[in-house]
Amino acid sequence: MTREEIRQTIRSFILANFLQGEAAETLQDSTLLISSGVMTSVSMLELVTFLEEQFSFTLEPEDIRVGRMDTVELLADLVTSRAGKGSALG
Amino acid sequence: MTRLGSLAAVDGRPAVIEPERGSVSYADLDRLADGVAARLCRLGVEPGARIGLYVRRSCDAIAAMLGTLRAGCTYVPVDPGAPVERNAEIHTDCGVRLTIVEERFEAGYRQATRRLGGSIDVHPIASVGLGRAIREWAPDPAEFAPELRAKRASAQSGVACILYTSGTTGRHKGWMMSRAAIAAFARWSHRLFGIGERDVFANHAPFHFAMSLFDIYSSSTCGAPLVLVPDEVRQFARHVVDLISRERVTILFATPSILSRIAALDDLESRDLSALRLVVFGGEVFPAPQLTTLRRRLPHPRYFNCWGSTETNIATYYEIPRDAEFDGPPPIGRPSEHYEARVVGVQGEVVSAGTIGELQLRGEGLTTGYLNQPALNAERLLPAADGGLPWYRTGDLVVELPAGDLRYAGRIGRMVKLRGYRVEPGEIETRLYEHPAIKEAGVVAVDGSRGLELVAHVSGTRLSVVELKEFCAVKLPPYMIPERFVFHAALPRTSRGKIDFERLRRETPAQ
Repeated sequence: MTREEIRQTIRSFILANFLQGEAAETLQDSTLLISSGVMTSVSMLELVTFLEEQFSFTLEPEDIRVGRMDTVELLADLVTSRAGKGSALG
Repeated sequence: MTRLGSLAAVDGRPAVIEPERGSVSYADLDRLADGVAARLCRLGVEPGARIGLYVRRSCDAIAAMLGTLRAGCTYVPVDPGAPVERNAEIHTDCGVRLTIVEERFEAGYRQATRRLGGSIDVHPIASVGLGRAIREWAPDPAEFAPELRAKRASAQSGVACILYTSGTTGRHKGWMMSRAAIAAFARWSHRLFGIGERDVFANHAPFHFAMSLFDIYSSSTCGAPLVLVPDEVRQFARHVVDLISRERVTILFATPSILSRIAALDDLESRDLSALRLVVFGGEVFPAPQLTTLRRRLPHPRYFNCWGSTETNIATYYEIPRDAEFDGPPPIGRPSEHYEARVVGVQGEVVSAGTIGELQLRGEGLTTGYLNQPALNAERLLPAADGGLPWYRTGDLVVELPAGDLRYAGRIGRMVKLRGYRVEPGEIETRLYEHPAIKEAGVVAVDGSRGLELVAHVSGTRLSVVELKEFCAVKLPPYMIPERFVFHAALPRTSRGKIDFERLRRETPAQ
């Protein structure tokens, strides 16, 4: 799984679940998710649960920080670093 | 008779545990609280003054609360996760004299309070943790000498804290929680739950939330430690369970939302939760299937369903019998011993068992009212015909079951409870109407894939959902931001020309 694929998966999940009917281009990689109100702590929980299942990894308590999860960009980095061990990273 | 703000012990036992960081002993917490009281006195803060607390959940926050009480003052906690504008409005509304604010929020808070024309004395403290920021701000506990302590106690305000909730008209309202109410509640909880110094409490609820009064005051007045579940992980069942297991937590008071997620954990049976003896829940309805799963997978603790609100704190309780099975939510039970309850019909008459009516309560817990809201107080607090304490109208419908327990039967009006938070949809609509492109707004709560969720129906120029959520987030706390937006050419209206919320609810598209 490449970083790009992870990034796309995160984007599609957010668009499909929390931004229904939204034009895909409104969600930028740098759009603030938590601190802007786009996602709540509960929807973030849902996203993380989905990503953990999808990419078979577990986030540690120290990963769960607004500063590490507030944009698609940050989330993609975080998941890549936790999930992509040993695979060909993009 | 102990004074609210004093501790059951002043020795080396742990009082507050901040996981990963360490713990603070009862003796240290006592000194920290005295330090705060001393500093407030030295700053010339009079008894009865209101002190704003803009501090994240920590030992520092608890010390600031206890110190404020010792100085004879009233504290006003705000949600550090809510927009700074809202918090500044709350503190301005109740005429806060001085605010203790974490540095990270200081600049925005100063700006916002200045804009509102307030004259709050702002006192920044460093990042909180283990009482260090408070110790730095208030380093002289010895100054709070016995004479000063007695003097402040004799002149103290009867109001311990002011807790703000969502208001129907789009303005939040502050409930004055009395010292007597908290003290009576803590004593009652000790007796009912058989709480003692060998217990270990976990705090899951935010501190601006009435639910946290149980955690803070029931633990500190019995000498037991309180484990603060870190904010970052409080929604993550797995991490909450790790903490309960590691810290040997015996008492957990939490909302059904997090308990439902704990019930769904894959490996719940393999965790060592043997110390957990009491699970208390409230703040919203616990759906029967999830409660059944939790009890089946975690059979050893005693389970209590409690009913309460910001105004009343926990007011009724029901212990779930070990073998009982429920099709629907369990009853909310009987009034706690510091309350008297009655069920009242539409004509104001007391109805008999089996008939639905409004739950009304009176007692030691309810002698104050809302701050600066005479009309609201007149509406919610009814003078008693027998000359006793006034009756508080809860706005909740209940029915008395044959065995004498009460069952919750819904809410009068539009207020909803989401993950323990009280939300007035009108407050969200008020914010949406502030957007120039929105013509109409109707917010409803519907059952979605992730439980009850807020859906905003709007008409006007079509906007991006991201933009709308961002717009809401400027003034509303995260839990009040609608999960979904549905765009209409015009909202449906009733025959009387009002927005037809029933139809909006029915016609909200499924996820």
